Amino acid sequence: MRGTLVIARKELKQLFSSPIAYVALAMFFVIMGFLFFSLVGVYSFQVLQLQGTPPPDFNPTRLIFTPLYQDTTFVLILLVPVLTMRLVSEEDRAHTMELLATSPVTNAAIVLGKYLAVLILFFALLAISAYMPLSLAMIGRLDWGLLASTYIGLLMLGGAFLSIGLFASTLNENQIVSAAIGFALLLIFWVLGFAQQASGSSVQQVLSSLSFATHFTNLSGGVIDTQDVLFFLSLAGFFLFLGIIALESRKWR
Amino acid sequence: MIQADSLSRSYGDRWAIKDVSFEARPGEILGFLGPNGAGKTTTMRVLAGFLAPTSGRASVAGFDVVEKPLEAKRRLGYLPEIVPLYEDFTTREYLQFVARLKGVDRRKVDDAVDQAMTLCATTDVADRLVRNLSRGYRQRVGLAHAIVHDPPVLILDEPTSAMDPRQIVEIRNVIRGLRGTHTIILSTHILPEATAVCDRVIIINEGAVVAVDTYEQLAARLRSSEKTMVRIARPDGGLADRLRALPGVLHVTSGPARGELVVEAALGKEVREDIARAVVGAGAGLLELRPLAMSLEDVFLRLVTQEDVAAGETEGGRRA
Repeated sequence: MRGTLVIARKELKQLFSSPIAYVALAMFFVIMGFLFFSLVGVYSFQVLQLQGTPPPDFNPTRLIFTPLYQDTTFVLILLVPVLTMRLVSEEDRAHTMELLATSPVTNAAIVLGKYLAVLILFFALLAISAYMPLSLAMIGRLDWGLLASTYIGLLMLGGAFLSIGLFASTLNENQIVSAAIGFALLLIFWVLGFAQQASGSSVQQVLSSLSFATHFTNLSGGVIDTQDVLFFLSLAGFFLFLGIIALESRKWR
Repeated sequence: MIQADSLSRSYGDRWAIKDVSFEARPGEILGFLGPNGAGKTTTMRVLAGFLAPTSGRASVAGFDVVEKPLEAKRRLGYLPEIVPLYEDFTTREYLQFVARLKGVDRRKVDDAVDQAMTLCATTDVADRLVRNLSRGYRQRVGLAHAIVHDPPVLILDEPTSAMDPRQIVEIRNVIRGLRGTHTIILSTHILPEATAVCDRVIIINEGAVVAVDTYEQLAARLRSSEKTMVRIARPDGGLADRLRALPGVLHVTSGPARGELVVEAALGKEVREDIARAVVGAGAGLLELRPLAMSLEDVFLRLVTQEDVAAGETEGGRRA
């Protein structure tokens, strides 16, 4: 536990002493800001057209934030590998893995410490992105339950994404290759959702329950189903476990 | 304190080390000598728990490195061949991280770091970024990182590489200062270093231990005869034949420079007095008379090369 915290602290310090975190965060907020801006624009246009007689399910949360956070997941597919690619690869390149591996900490503590650091960064990123609903809340009424469910979904999704990116980073000492592997893995889990439409019903069910998209759609639609929460948690756990195994196996190679 | 029991490690089907056994006694400095690729780094990595042995056992401070890795690592300071540094940190930040990582008590971290920096003479670069340090400083910061948690056992893989001669002397003094309270294994390419700081040396070649002993004993064991170098002012006059006739003398050969003769006598036979008398008696003008000892280079070459090196050619008076 102590080792985990020591490593997490070091990782955070390193993240913020290199340009990667800043560039990634800036890109994220530029894209999000633009999406938010255009969705609000579309929404106000619709309000004008309806002339004060809105249909019953016409609410700004569903029309602005549900599509906004759906799009966020695409941004995260690109962003997460950039944040995680250096986690282990850089230690390999700089030969500092030899320091970590010969210190009195377990491989689990190393992996969890690194994971905790990027998770904290991701949490901060989500917290900052809350300025969007908060700014609209000043001039209108929002569906807070739906927003909370969406944020839980994003946190779950992000947690799973980061563990996949971290695992990819244990495979290679080249950061670019690690990012590419992470990106490919994330994309595979995403496109599984597309593939289900082209296959038989039994396969369809397996594919759709493996896809990020299915589970996130539920959460971002306001439904917190334990099945979806468990999916993301077990996915994160599985890839963290693979990451620990990958480090452990190096000793024997 | 450090024990290796028929350690073997293979990479695929190539054996890096095979059946390596040795022991470092508490408080001693053990030198690890061997040509490149002999298996020094592999052995050290196995002891440090970075690599698992393919077979055999090793223990550090009484803890098996495979079965009780955390206990062993807690008592170990390890300086790898390539110093593991975080370029974005200052020296102080880096050492603080290492101290915490090694389990130094939160309140004692600053003291431990200060002490390690003082000992390794890195205090004046404490607030410089590691990326801007010279190679000599990087190496010293590396040594500081290995001793920051004051471990009883130290494993140093070429601690003085990339240093200038003055720094080497300083680091050797630091390492000598740790003798007695710490058990140290250090590997080196620089043979004089082994004689300068180590109590005993292990010579390793092609993955196997060739010899373990003090340098003096190794030299004595390999020596097949007593050699004496004689330098005279007037070499002509059949002095060589007169020396050859002395009791106990086996060979007399001419040395590398004019007027130099190397007299070889049976082991354990003291012939210098006779030689001196003969030279003076012949009126050849005795300029110098000294015993030739084997340098560590000679011992090393003897042990790691299969053919018997013609000792007379490589021997010099230098006992580094």
